[in-house]
Amino acid sequence: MLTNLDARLSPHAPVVLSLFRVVFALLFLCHATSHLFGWPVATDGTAMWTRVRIVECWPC
Amino acid sequence: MLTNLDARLSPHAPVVLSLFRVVFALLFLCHATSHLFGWPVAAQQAPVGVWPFWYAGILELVTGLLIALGLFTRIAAFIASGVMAFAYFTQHLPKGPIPMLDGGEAAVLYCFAFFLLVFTGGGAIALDARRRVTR
Repeated sequence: MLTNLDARLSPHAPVVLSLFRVVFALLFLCHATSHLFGWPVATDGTAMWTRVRIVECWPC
Repeated sequence: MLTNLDARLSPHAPVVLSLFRVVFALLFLCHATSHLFGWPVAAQQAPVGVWPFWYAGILELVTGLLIALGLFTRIAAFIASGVMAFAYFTQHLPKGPIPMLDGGEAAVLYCFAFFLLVFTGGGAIALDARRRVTR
């Protein structure tokens, strides 16, 4: 039964890997934009034009 | 050059997939033990029978152990992924749609990481792979 499950699920792995990659990248980009532009988390880092370092934890 | 890189790295993917599986499972187990035994985060301990945290802890413990061992990986990962989806939709999404703001980032990451394991399996170093060879 488990061999059958392997055979049925494995062909879809490349598509799910792409989905996984996109979701992780989008969440990672939220950290990037928080550090650089203060969005979506304004207190997460420093807006690049302020030059004031207020980053207290990384990554968070 | 990149084709060359593909050819050199791809053969190692099944072993690295097992490493990925074990790391995610161990981190997931920390949530389970926090809910059930108050370790490593004492504040997260749930009294026995409290919905949904204690039940989540049981499911996380069982599926986390199975995923870490690579035993019935696809089935355990499917359940763990569902538990995390449920956690996100019931505990975090009501606070807002952006995971970074509603505290649901870990739930989303676990959900999709385990969903990936449903389709890839446990990798080269797993009890499932051993069972397949001995059968």
